[in-house]
Amino acid sequence: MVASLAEWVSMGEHGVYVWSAWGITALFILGLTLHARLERRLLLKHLKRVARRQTAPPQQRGHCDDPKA
Amino acid sequence: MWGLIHKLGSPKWFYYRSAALQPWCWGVATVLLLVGSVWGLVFAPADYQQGNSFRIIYVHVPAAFLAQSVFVAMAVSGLVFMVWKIKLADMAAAAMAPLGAAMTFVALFSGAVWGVPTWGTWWIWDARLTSMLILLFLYLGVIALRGAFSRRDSGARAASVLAMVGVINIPIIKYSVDWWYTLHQPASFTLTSRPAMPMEMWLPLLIMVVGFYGFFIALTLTRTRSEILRREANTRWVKALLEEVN
Repeated sequence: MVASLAEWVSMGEHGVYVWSAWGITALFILGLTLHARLERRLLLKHLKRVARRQTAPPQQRGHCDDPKA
Repeated sequence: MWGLIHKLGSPKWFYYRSAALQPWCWGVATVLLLVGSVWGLVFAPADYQQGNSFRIIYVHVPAAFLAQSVFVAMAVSGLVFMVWKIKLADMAAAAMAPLGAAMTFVALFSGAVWGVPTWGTWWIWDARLTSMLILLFLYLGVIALRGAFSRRDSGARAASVLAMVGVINIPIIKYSVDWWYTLHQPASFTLTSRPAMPMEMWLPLLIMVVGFYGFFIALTLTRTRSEILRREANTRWVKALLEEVN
């Protein structure tokens, strides 16, 4: 257990190593999590739009802009 | 038995069964990672030789475990896809590849950063480091190969083959520290002997390792479910599901 916050942040002269390693790790874990959430939300939105277009009358049908769908 | 495999391989069955499991996986992973981080960064004692730089172990070792496990999981999925033509296996393989690449990078980066205060160098062409770098290139190859074909099935087959061939690198990584004894130390933890560390140091590490695996399962579930919707978009069950969500 550490005495003070400043002492903890400095990690006894190893702060730059500890925090950069932990920082990159946190960045990737949070980034992958947010990406997966965003991916799902955008996909649902896209699929719903396509479904609405398909049920609409033919003259209103447009092109699908995502080739992967 | 075959009935069960057939059912497990059905994207629709998997989509509905995994819905309840998913939030639990995310919850458990989040709690374990938070507890492990606070324990490892605040409460674990500093190492008598390395000081506080040893706290890098709590992200380095779990990331390195995951980097290798995800590749094996990807190779097994590739085999299942190629042999039994189970498309769900390929969807899972596609979902987990970026995580594997990210964890390989994290293991390499945290190792390099750890090397500066402990070895006096951030990189050396040591067998363990080199074979991990090859693993990163294999991941990038698998991801690039999947996207390099206009037909999805061709990309899936190519990615599966590279994953199955590339898995030979995994035992090389694992035994590199014993075969070529250079700078990277051999494994600190084995299943058969007591760890050489005090409990207040290895317990948070164990929590972090389990947390990383929980994160892998949670992320793969979520991304596989998205991949299922994307590929099955024209089926009746997905269309019905989309109307329900509206």
